[in-house]
Amino acid sequence: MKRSRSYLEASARERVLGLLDPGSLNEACPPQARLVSPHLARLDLPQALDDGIVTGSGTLDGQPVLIAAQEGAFNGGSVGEIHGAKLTGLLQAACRIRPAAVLLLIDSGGVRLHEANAGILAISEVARALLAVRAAGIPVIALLGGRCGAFGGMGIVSRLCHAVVMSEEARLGLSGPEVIETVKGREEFDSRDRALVWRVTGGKTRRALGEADRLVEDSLSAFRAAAAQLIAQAAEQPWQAPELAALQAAQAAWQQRYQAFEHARDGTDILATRLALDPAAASLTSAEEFEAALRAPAPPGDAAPPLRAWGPAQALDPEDQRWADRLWGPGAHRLQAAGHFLAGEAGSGEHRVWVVGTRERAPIDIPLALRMAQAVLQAVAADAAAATPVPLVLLAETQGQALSRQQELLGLPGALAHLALCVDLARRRGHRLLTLVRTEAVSGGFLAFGMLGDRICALPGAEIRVMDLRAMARVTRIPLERLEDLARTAPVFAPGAENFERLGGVHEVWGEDQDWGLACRAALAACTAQDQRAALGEQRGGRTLAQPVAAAVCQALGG
Amino acid sequence: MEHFHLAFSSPTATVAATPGAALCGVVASGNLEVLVEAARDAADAQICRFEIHTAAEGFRETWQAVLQDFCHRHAAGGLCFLLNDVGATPAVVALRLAQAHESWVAAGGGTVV
Repeated sequence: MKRSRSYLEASARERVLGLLDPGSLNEACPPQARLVSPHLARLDLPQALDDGIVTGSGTLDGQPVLIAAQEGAFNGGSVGEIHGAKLTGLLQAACRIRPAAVLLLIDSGGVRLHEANAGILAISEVARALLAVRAAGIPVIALLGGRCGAFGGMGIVSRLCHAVVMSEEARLGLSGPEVIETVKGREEFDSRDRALVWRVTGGKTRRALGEADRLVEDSLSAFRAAAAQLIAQAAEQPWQAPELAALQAAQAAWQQRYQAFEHARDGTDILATRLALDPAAASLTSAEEFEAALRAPAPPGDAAPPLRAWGPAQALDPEDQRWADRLWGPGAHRLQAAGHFLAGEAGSGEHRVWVVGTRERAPIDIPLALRMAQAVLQAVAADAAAATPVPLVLLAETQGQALSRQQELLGLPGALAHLALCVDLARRRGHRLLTLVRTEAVSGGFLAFGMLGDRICALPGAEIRVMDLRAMARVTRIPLERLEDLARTAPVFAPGAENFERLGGVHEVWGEDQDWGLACRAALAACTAQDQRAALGEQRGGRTLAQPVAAAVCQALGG
Repeated sequence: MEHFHLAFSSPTATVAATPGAALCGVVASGNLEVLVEAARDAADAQICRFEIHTAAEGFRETWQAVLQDFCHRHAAGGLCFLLNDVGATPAVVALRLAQAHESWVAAGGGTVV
């Protein structure tokens, strides 16, 4: 395997062989195991014997590693039930066998829309498993160098890793430009302008902004060298999961950076500040020259700049009031709304809870994500010395992430990953996490927050969705009418909470006539820190492959 | 999608001591993946079997011609090939089959490329 070969042009298998020491690969659930996607079969679509992902163990410069590589050429590297379960199983094995590092060769557009609900659950389970690997002090490194880059849930997953290595050719974002264009129009983001797309989400802009940690040339050897270097670094000074002080510092840095670039619309705006080179010349420089020309960001000031003004905090509107009264009783809650943000605390004595979340079908943009993260950190800080930290109720009500070129430019996947890390800190500090899905919860906005709950409960009529159907039709090239039909009938497409319950993605759906106060307290008592959703999906018959496939991969890797 | 099985006579392939599997190619437009393994039944030593899943419909005769030609040119008896095809041309199919066969033999009966 010639290592000077292009990483971009290589297949997933070739990348794995190019990074590992020769002959060291031991593949878990290899193609001959024939773990093909039944969902694709049902849609009469081609299947891949490894469902588009190589998972295995090996060595890199003699160091034991676990490695996963997504095949970007197969369905855009997208994550389906089996694909995601293989990745989850690998991450679960990492916690048990403790390799020197986990290498994630990400090349994915995110959720496999053909498997919609199973796909978003798969990515959420990957995220939970990855956070557990971080908590165990094992380095997880994301390598981005493929044609698909890392988008959607895999963009968030990339930013949950300890470090991101990117080539200029790769991209890191949340919503694809085609999706933004379909919903918001060409003025917002012209997806045909490929140079613009790369200036917004490409490796160089990401490195300059700090959304990637290392820029490398497009070769197998360059990626291998960067991985080896990071593994050696981590061996010397172990990378732990971030604690309160680190996340508070990250919060301040995020607020400062957002304010510094609030008017940026194009990657050149970032490069003008962060690069000691003419931005026009930036595209011509080598990775090494680019790294050398990066200016360190200004050190954080004494006080973090305030988040964007939300207007004065308001008392709850009648609908929120009714809902809060049902849960905790009139007068027993102290919540305030500010635009789409809702927070406070409720209940008393041993039933006291923090409440953090969003309302009115909030589109999650960076300021809102940072506001939510700040509220979570405040709860953790308040209970830092408490014997039993107060549980958090996560209010999931979102139309998904904000579809905006500027939000993509300023690092929306990173901001959502930061929010997820804060929620994970709360769990590690002993706070139970109960998610309530009120009316709807959609894609990235739900993935990075509500889906991280220990227990996820849905109110009657709640819907969970992966993507706007029009955009889905454009990306999958399945006609809109067919998608609308599938959304009514097929379990992997139907958005209702009852359907998600059967898939294991929702633990309980509450009835209209139920005592929500009692249900809330019971749900809190039932919270467990372990992610049981795949097991639930198997028990309930809605998602029968995720659990056994993850277990098979984990076992095959010695976990 | 079309799914069918084909079998042709072919000179016996070198069966390795520990037969494994070899994989070649990718399931993507204009491409295909090919998995080759030793047949489970030892009696098939002079037959080469193919399991084809293809997104290009109506090309059964072309498949027969390409695969028969492959079996004539290579010692593939006693092997089973599984193909997941997304409209690869006959030339690409022949290439992938040859690559898979070669890597299977070269690695002593099993590797993945």
